[in-house]
Amino acid sequence: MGILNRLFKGVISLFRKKQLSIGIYGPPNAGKTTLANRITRDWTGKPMGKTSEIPHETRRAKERKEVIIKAAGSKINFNIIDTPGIATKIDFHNFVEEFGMKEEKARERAKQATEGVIEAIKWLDNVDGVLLVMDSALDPFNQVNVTLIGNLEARKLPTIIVANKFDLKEASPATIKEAFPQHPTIPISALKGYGMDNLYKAMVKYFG
Amino acid sequence: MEPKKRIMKERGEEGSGISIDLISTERLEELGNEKIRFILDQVKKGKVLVLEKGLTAAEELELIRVTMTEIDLDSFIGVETPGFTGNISRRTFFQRLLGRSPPPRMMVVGPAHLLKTIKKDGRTIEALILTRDEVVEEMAQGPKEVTSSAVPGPEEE
Ligand SMILES: Nc1nc2c(ncn2[C@@H]2O[C@H](COP(=O)(O)OP(=O)(O)O)[C@@H](O)[C@H]2O)c(=O)[nH]1
Ligand SMILES: [Mg+2]
Repeated sequence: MGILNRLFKGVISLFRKKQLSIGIYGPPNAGKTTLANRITRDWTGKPMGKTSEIPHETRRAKERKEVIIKAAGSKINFNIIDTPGIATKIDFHNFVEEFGMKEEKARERAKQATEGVIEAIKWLDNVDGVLLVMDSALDPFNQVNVTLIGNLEARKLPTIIVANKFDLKEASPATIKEAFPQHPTIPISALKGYGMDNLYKAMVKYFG
Repeated sequence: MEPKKRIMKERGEEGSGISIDLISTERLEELGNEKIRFILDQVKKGKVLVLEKGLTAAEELELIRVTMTEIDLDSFIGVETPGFTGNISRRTFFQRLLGRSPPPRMMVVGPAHLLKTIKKDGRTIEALILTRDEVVEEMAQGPKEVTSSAVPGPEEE
Protein backbone atom coordinates (compact mmCIF):
# COMPACT_ATOMS: atom_id res chain seq x y z
CA MET A 1 0.00 0.00 0.00
CA GLY A 2 2.70 2.44 1.08
CA ILE A 3 4.65 1.81 -2.07
CA LEU A 4 1.59 2.19 -4.29
CA ASN A 5 0.68 5.35 -2.49
CA ARG A 6 4.12 6.82 -2.99
CA LEU A 7 4.11 5.83 -6.61
CA PHE A 8 0.75 7.49 -7.06
CA LYS A 9 1.93 10.69 -5.42
CA GLY A 10 5.05 10.64 -7.55
CA VAL A 11 3.00 10.40 -10.73
CA ILE A 12 0.71 13.21 -9.60
CA SER A 13 3.64 15.50 -8.85
CA LEU A 14 5.00 14.85 -12.31
CA PHE A 15 1.89 16.36 -13.77
CA ARG A 16 1.34 19.14 -11.30
CA LYS A 17 2.76 22.40 -12.58
CA LYS A 18 5.51 23.56 -10.28
CA GLN A 19 5.27 27.06 -8.93
CA LEU A 20 8.32 29.10 -9.74
CA SER A 21 9.51 31.41 -6.99
CA ILE A 22 10.94 34.60 -8.40
CA GLY A 23 12.73 37.02 -6.09
CA ILE A 24 12.73 40.71 -6.91
CA TYR A 25 16.15 41.93 -5.79
CA GLY A 26 18.24 45.05 -5.94
CA PRO A 27 19.48 48.06 -4.01
CA PRO A 28 17.04 50.27 -2.07
CA ASN A 29 14.86 52.54 -4.20
CA ALA A 30 15.47 50.79 -7.51
CA GLY A 31 11.71 50.32 -7.87
CA LYS A 32 11.35 46.71 -6.71
CA THR A 33 8.01 47.17 -4.99
CA THR A 34 6.69 49.35 -7.79
CA LEU A 35 7.55 46.47 -10.14
CA ALA A 36 6.05 43.84 -7.82
CA ASN A 37 2.85 45.90 -7.70
CA ARG A 38 2.81 46.31 -11.46
CA ILE A 39 3.17 42.55 -12.00
CA THR A 40 0.61 41.51 -9.40
CA ARG A 41 -1.84 44.20 -10.50
CA ASP A 42 -1.53 43.07 -14.11
CA TRP A 43 -2.12 39.38 -13.33
CA THR A 44 -4.07 39.19 -10.07
CA GLY A 45 -5.70 42.61 -9.95
CA LYS A 46 -4.14 43.48 -6.59
CA PRO A 47 -0.89 45.31 -5.73
CA MET A 48 1.34 43.87 -3.03
CA GLY A 49 3.18 46.56 -1.08
CA LYS A 50 3.83 50.16 -0.22
CA THR A 51 6.35 52.18 -2.21
CA SER A 52 8.18 55.32 -1.18
CA GLU A 53 10.81 57.76 -2.33
CA ILE A 54 12.45 57.20 1.07
CA PRO A 55 14.85 54.25 0.92
CA HIS A 56 14.11 51.07 2.88
CA GLU A 57 10.34 51.33 2.69
CA THR A 58 10.14 47.54 2.32
CA ARG A 59 11.67 46.01 5.41
CA ARG A 60 10.11 42.56 5.30
CA ALA A 61 10.01 40.23 2.31
CA LYS A 62 6.53 39.75 0.90
CA GLU A 63 5.32 36.81 -1.11
CA ARG A 64 2.41 36.65 -3.52
CA LYS A 65 1.45 33.20 -4.74
CA GLU A 66 -0.45 32.13 -7.83
CA VAL A 67 0.61 34.93 -10.11
CA ILE A 68 -0.16 33.27 -13.42
CA ILE A 69 1.56 35.02 -16.28
CA LYS A 70 0.63 34.36 -19.87
CA ALA A 71 3.04 35.49 -22.55
CA ALA A 72 4.48 34.27 -25.83
CA GLY A 73 2.02 31.38 -25.94
CA SER A 74 3.02 30.02 -22.49
CA LYS A 75 1.43 30.18 -19.09
CA ILE A 76 3.48 30.00 -15.91
CA ASN A 77 2.49 30.00 -12.27
CA PHE A 78 4.85 32.29 -10.31
CA ASN A 79 5.37 33.11 -6.65
CA ILE A 80 6.53 36.69 -6.64
CA ILE A 81 8.73 37.69 -3.71
CA ASP A 82 9.35 41.39 -3.15
CA THR A 83 12.48 41.73 -1.03
CA PRO A 84 13.91 44.60 1.03
CA GLY A 85 16.71 46.51 -0.70
CA ILE A 86 20.22 45.25 -0.06
CA ALA A 87 22.74 47.80 1.19
CA THR A 88 26.23 47.69 2.70
CA LYS A 89 25.49 50.60 5.04
CA ILE A 90 22.46 52.15 6.69
CA ASP A 91 22.61 55.61 8.20
CA PHE A 92 19.50 56.81 10.01
CA HIS A 93 20.69 60.42 9.75
CA ASN A 94 19.83 60.33 6.05
CA PHE A 95 16.17 59.78 6.84
CA VAL A 96 16.23 62.75 9.19
CA GLU A 97 18.31 65.10 7.09
CA GLU A 98 17.01 64.28 3.63
CA PHE A 99 13.42 63.42 4.37
CA GLY A 100 12.71 65.29 7.59
CA MET A 101 11.84 62.17 9.52
CA LYS A 102 11.70 62.31 13.32
CA GLU A 103 14.83 60.84 14.87
CA GLU A 104 13.05 58.09 16.75
CA LYS A 105 11.22 56.96 13.65
CA ALA A 106 14.40 57.15 11.60
CA ARG A 107 16.26 54.97 14.09
CA GLU A 108 13.46 52.41 14.07
CA ARG A 109 13.44 52.41 10.26
CA ALA A 110 17.22 51.92 10.10
CA LYS A 111 17.13 49.06 12.60
CA GLN A 112 14.36 47.32 10.66
CA ALA A 113 16.22 47.95 7.43
CA THR A 114 19.25 46.00 8.70
CA GLU A 115 16.93 43.08 9.46
CA GLY A 116 15.37 43.45 6.03
CA VAL A 117 18.74 43.07 4.32
CA ILE A 118 19.37 39.86 6.26
CA GLU A 119 15.95 38.54 5.31
CA ALA A 120 16.48 39.35 1.63
CA ILE A 121 19.79 37.47 1.66
CA LYS A 122 18.15 34.48 3.36
CA TRP A 123 15.45 34.34 0.68
CA LEU A 124 18.12 33.70 -1.95
CA ASP A 125 18.10 30.07 -0.79
CA ASN A 126 14.42 29.75 -1.69
CA VAL A 127 14.07 31.30 -5.11
CA ASP A 128 14.21 29.68 -8.54
CA GLY A 129 15.04 32.84 -10.42
CA VAL A 130 15.66 36.54 -9.87
CA LEU A 131 14.50 39.82 -11.32
CA LEU A 132 17.44 42.07 -10.49
CA VAL A 133 16.12 45.63 -10.53
CA MET A 134 18.48 48.50 -11.26
CA ASP A 135 17.81 52.20 -11.57
CA SER A 136 18.94 52.87 -15.13
CA ALA A 137 19.64 56.50 -14.33
CA LEU A 138 22.39 55.44 -11.89
CA ASP A 139 25.85 53.90 -12.21
CA PRO A 140 25.31 50.14 -12.67
CA PHE A 141 28.67 49.23 -11.08
CA ASN A 142 27.48 49.79 -7.55
CA GLN A 143 28.76 47.19 -5.15
CA VAL A 144 25.33 45.75 -4.38
CA ASN A 145 24.61 45.06 -8.05
CA VAL A 146 28.02 43.52 -8.62
CA THR A 147 27.88 41.38 -5.47
CA LEU A 148 24.36 40.22 -6.21
CA ILE A 149 25.21 39.24 -9.77
CA GLY A 150 28.24 37.31 -8.55
CA ASN A 151 26.09 35.40 -6.08
CA LEU A 152 23.31 34.71 -8.55
CA GLU A 153 25.89 33.34 -10.98
CA ALA A 154 27.59 31.23 -8.32
CA ARG A 155 24.17 29.78 -7.42
CA LYS A 156 23.30 29.34 -11.09
CA LEU A 157 20.02 31.20 -10.60
CA PRO A 158 18.44 32.38 -13.85
CA THR A 159 18.54 36.17 -13.75
CA ILE A 160 16.86 38.90 -15.71
CA ILE A 161 18.22 42.40 -15.21
CA VAL A 162 15.40 44.90 -15.10
CA ALA A 163 16.65 48.31 -16.22
CA ASN A 164 13.96 50.31 -14.43
CA LYS A 165 13.05 54.00 -14.54
CA PHE A 166 13.42 54.02 -18.31
CA ASP A 167 11.04 57.00 -18.30
CA LEU A 168 13.67 59.27 -16.75
CA LYS A 169 15.61 61.28 -19.26
CA GLU A 170 18.97 60.35 -17.71
CA ALA A 171 18.11 56.67 -18.05
CA SER A 172 20.66 54.58 -19.91
CA PRO A 173 19.75 50.88 -20.08
CA ALA A 174 22.59 50.49 -22.62
CA THR A 175 25.11 51.22 -19.84
CA ILE A 176 23.64 48.36 -17.81
CA LYS A 177 23.73 46.04 -20.80
CA GLU A 178 27.40 46.86 -21.35
CA ALA A 179 28.23 46.33 -17.69
CA PHE A 180 26.57 42.92 -17.47
CA PRO A 181 26.41 41.52 -21.00
CA GLN A 182 26.02 37.95 -19.73
CA HIS A 183 22.37 38.46 -18.69
CA PRO A 184 19.26 39.56 -20.55
CA THR A 185 18.50 43.20 -19.76
CA ILE A 186 14.96 44.50 -20.20
CA PRO A 187 14.36 48.27 -20.07
CA ILE A 188 11.08 49.12 -18.35
CA SER A 189 9.33 51.78 -16.39
CA ALA A 190 7.56 50.05 -13.52
CA LEU A 191 5.94 53.36 -12.69
CA LYS A 192 4.52 54.07 -16.15
CA GLY A 193 4.20 50.50 -17.32
CA TYR A 194 6.52 50.81 -20.31
CA GLY A 195 8.22 47.63 -21.49
CA MET A 196 6.17 45.25 -19.36
CA ASP A 197 5.21 43.01 -22.28
CA ASN A 198 8.88 42.46 -23.05
CA LEU A 199 9.52 41.65 -19.43
CA TYR A 200 6.69 39.10 -19.29
CA LYS A 201 7.97 37.44 -22.46
CA ALA A 202 11.47 37.31 -20.97
CA MET A 203 10.15 35.86 -17.69
CA VAL A 204 8.35 33.07 -19.52
CA LYS A 205 11.38 32.41 -21.68
CA TYR A 206 14.15 32.46 -19.06
CA PHE A 207 12.33 31.19 -15.98
CA GLY A 208 9.91 28.76 -17.61
CA MET B 1 26.20 68.75 10.98
CA GLU B 2 26.98 65.86 8.70
CA PRO B 3 26.32 62.40 10.14
CA LYS B 4 29.91 61.28 9.69
CA LYS B 5 31.26 64.15 11.73
CA ARG B 6 28.75 63.46 14.42
CA ILE B 7 29.72 59.84 14.60
CA MET B 8 33.38 60.68 15.08
CA LYS B 9 32.55 63.18 17.77
CA GLU B 10 30.29 60.83 19.64
CA ARG B 11 32.95 58.19 19.58
CA GLY B 12 35.38 60.71 21.01
CA GLU B 13 38.05 59.68 18.56
CA GLU B 14 40.82 62.07 17.93
CA GLY B 15 44.18 62.33 16.32
CA SER B 16 44.77 62.49 12.66
CA GLY B 17 45.14 60.05 9.89
CA ILE B 18 43.56 56.80 9.04
CA SER B 19 45.37 53.53 9.11
CA ILE B 20 45.44 51.75 5.80
CA ASP B 21 46.41 48.11 6.09
CA LEU B 22 47.54 46.17 3.08
CA ILE B 23 46.59 42.56 3.58
CA SER B 24 48.45 39.99 1.54
CA THR B 25 46.85 37.00 -0.08
CA GLU B 26 48.86 34.77 2.28
CA ARG B 27 47.48 36.50 5.35
CA LEU B 28 43.93 36.24 4.05
CA GLU B 29 44.29 32.58 3.24
CA GLU B 30 45.80 31.92 6.65
CA LEU B 31 42.66 33.45 8.18
CA GLY B 32 40.42 30.87 6.51
CA ASN B 33 36.97 30.94 8.11
CA GLU B 34 37.95 33.89 10.24
CA LYS B 35 38.37 36.14 7.23
CA ILE B 36 35.07 38.00 7.54
CA ARG B 37 35.44 38.33 11.32
CA PHE B 38 38.95 39.74 10.93
CA ILE B 39 37.90 42.24 8.27
CA LEU B 40 34.93 43.49 10.26
CA ASP B 41 36.94 43.82 13.47
CA GLN B 42 39.53 45.95 11.69
CA VAL B 43 36.94 48.06 9.89
CA LYS B 44 35.05 48.66 13.12
CA LYS B 45 38.30 50.02 14.58
CA GLY B 46 38.19 52.63 11.80
CA LYS B 47 40.79 51.04 9.54
CA VAL B 48 40.73 50.86 5.79
CA LEU B 49 41.95 47.53 4.42
CA VAL B 50 43.37 46.91 1.00
CA LEU B 51 42.99 43.24 0.20
CA GLU B 52 45.48 41.91 -2.33
CA LYS B 53 42.98 39.25 -3.22
CA GLY B 54 39.46 40.42 -2.60
CA LEU B 55 36.49 38.47 -1.41
CA THR B 56 34.46 36.15 -3.56
CA ALA B 57 30.90 37.27 -4.25
CA ALA B 58 29.64 34.78 -1.66
CA GLU B 59 32.08 36.06 0.96
CA GLU B 60 31.12 39.61 0.19
CA LEU B 61 27.45 38.84 0.67
CA GLU B 62 28.37 37.20 3.97
CA LEU B 63 30.28 40.36 4.91
CA ILE B 64 27.14 42.40 4.17
CA ARG B 65 25.00 40.01 6.20
CA VAL B 66 27.27 40.06 9.25
CA THR B 67 27.67 43.84 8.93
CA MET B 68 23.90 44.18 9.16
CA THR B 69 23.84 42.23 12.42
CA GLU B 70 26.53 44.51 13.86
CA ILE B 71 25.42 47.94 12.72
CA ASP B 72 25.16 50.27 15.64
CA LEU B 73 23.26 53.34 14.56
CA ASP B 74 25.64 55.71 16.30
CA SER B 75 29.08 54.21 15.94
CA PHE B 76 29.08 51.80 13.00
CA ILE B 77 26.86 52.46 10.00
CA GLY B 78 28.27 49.79 7.75
CA VAL B 79 30.98 49.08 5.23
CA GLU B 80 32.09 50.44 1.92
CA THR B 81 33.74 47.88 -0.33
CA PRO B 82 35.04 49.27 -3.60
CA GLY B 83 36.70 46.51 -5.52
CA PHE B 84 36.81 44.43 -8.62
CA THR B 85 34.51 41.55 -7.84
CA GLY B 86 35.21 38.70 -10.20
CA ASN B 87 32.73 38.83 -12.99
CA ILE B 88 31.71 35.75 -14.84
CA SER B 89 31.98 37.36 -18.25
CA ARG B 90 35.69 37.78 -17.56
CA ARG B 91 36.31 34.08 -17.10
CA THR B 92 38.64 32.35 -19.47
CA PHE B 93 37.22 29.94 -21.95
CA PHE B 94 38.23 26.94 -19.82
CA GLN B 95 36.86 28.40 -16.62
CA ARG B 96 33.61 28.98 -18.43
CA LEU B 97 33.66 25.47 -19.77
CA LEU B 98 34.22 24.05 -16.28
CA GLY B 99 31.67 26.37 -14.72
CA ARG B 100 34.36 27.81 -12.43
CA SER B 101 33.89 31.07 -10.62
CA PRO B 102 36.32 33.80 -11.54
CA PRO B 103 39.07 34.45 -8.98
CA PRO B 104 38.47 37.30 -6.52
CA ARG B 105 40.27 40.51 -7.28
CA MET B 106 41.74 43.47 -5.48
CA MET B 107 39.37 45.11 -3.02
CA VAL B 108 39.28 47.88 -0.45
CA VAL B 109 37.11 47.58 2.65
CA GLY B 110 36.50 50.41 5.06
CA PRO B 111 33.97 51.88 7.46
CA ALA B 112 31.18 53.60 5.53
CA HIS B 113 31.54 56.85 7.49
CA LEU B 114 35.15 57.24 6.39
CA LEU B 115 35.34 55.66 2.97
CA LYS B 116 33.29 56.76 0.03
CA THR B 117 33.28 55.27 -3.45
CA ILE B 118 33.06 58.11 -5.91
CA LYS B 119 33.18 56.51 -9.27
CA LYS B 120 33.47 53.04 -10.60
CA ASP B 121 33.68 51.49 -13.96
CA GLY B 122 34.97 48.05 -14.81
CA ARG B 123 38.60 49.23 -14.77
CA THR B 124 39.10 52.13 -12.41
CA ILE B 125 37.65 52.88 -9.01
CA GLU B 126 37.85 56.26 -7.38
CA ALA B 127 37.32 56.45 -3.65
CA LEU B 128 37.65 59.13 -1.00
CA ILE B 129 39.03 58.56 2.45
CA LEU B 130 37.92 61.22 4.88
CA THR B 131 40.66 61.72 7.42
CA ARG B 132 39.68 61.85 11.06
CA ASP B 133 40.62 65.50 11.39
CA GLU B 134 38.52 66.37 8.42
CA VAL B 135 35.62 64.34 9.67
CA VAL B 136 35.80 65.94 13.09
CA GLU B 137 36.65 69.48 12.10
CA GLU B 138 34.09 70.38 9.49
CA MET B 139 36.33 69.18 6.70
CA ALA B 140 38.05 72.55 6.43
CA GLN B 141 40.24 71.60 3.50
CA GLY B 142 37.94 69.15 1.84
CA PRO B 143 38.46 65.42 1.62
CA LYS B 144 41.68 63.87 0.38
CA GLU B 145 41.44 62.04 -2.82
CA VAL B 146 42.64 58.51 -3.23
CA THR B 147 42.44 56.85 -6.56
CA SER B 148 43.11 53.21 -7.00
CA SER B 149 43.21 51.71 -10.39
CA ALA B 150 43.98 48.31 -11.66
CA VAL B 151 44.35 46.59 -14.93
CA PRO B 152 42.74 43.18 -15.10
CA GLY B 153 45.60 40.85 -14.31
CA PRO B 154 46.31 37.48 -15.81
CA GLU B 155 43.54 35.14 -14.88
CA GLU B 156 44.29 32.04 -12.91
CA GLU B 157 43.38 28.67 -14.25
N1 LIG C 1 10.54 57.71 -12.57
C1 LIG C 1 10.34 56.50 -12.07
N2 LIG C 1 10.28 56.33 -10.74
C2 LIG C 1 10.08 55.07 -10.28
C3 LIG C 1 9.95 53.95 -11.14
N3 LIG C 1 9.77 52.85 -10.37
C4 LIG C 1 9.80 53.27 -9.09
N4 LIG C 1 9.96 54.61 -9.02
C5 LIG C 1 10.02 55.45 -7.82
O1 LIG C 1 11.17 55.13 -7.07
C6 LIG C 1 10.91 55.21 -5.67
C7 LIG C 1 11.23 53.88 -5.01
O2 LIG C 1 10.31 52.92 -5.46
P1 LIG C 1 10.07 51.58 -4.65
O3 LIG C 1 9.23 50.70 -5.53
O4 LIG C 1 9.55 51.86 -3.28
O5 LIG C 1 11.57 51.04 -4.58
P2 LIG C 1 12.17 49.76 -3.81
O6 LIG C 1 12.84 50.29 -2.59
O7 LIG C 1 13.15 49.17 -4.77
O8 LIG C 1 11.03 48.84 -3.50
C8 LIG C 1 9.44 55.61 -5.54
O9 LIG C 1 9.38 57.00 -5.36
C9 LIG C 1 8.86 55.18 -6.88
O10 LIG C 1 7.73 55.94 -7.25
C10 LIG C 1 10.03 54.18 -12.55
O11 LIG C 1 9.91 53.29 -13.39
N5 LIG C 1 10.22 55.48 -12.95
MG1 LIG D 1 10.40 48.06 -1.74
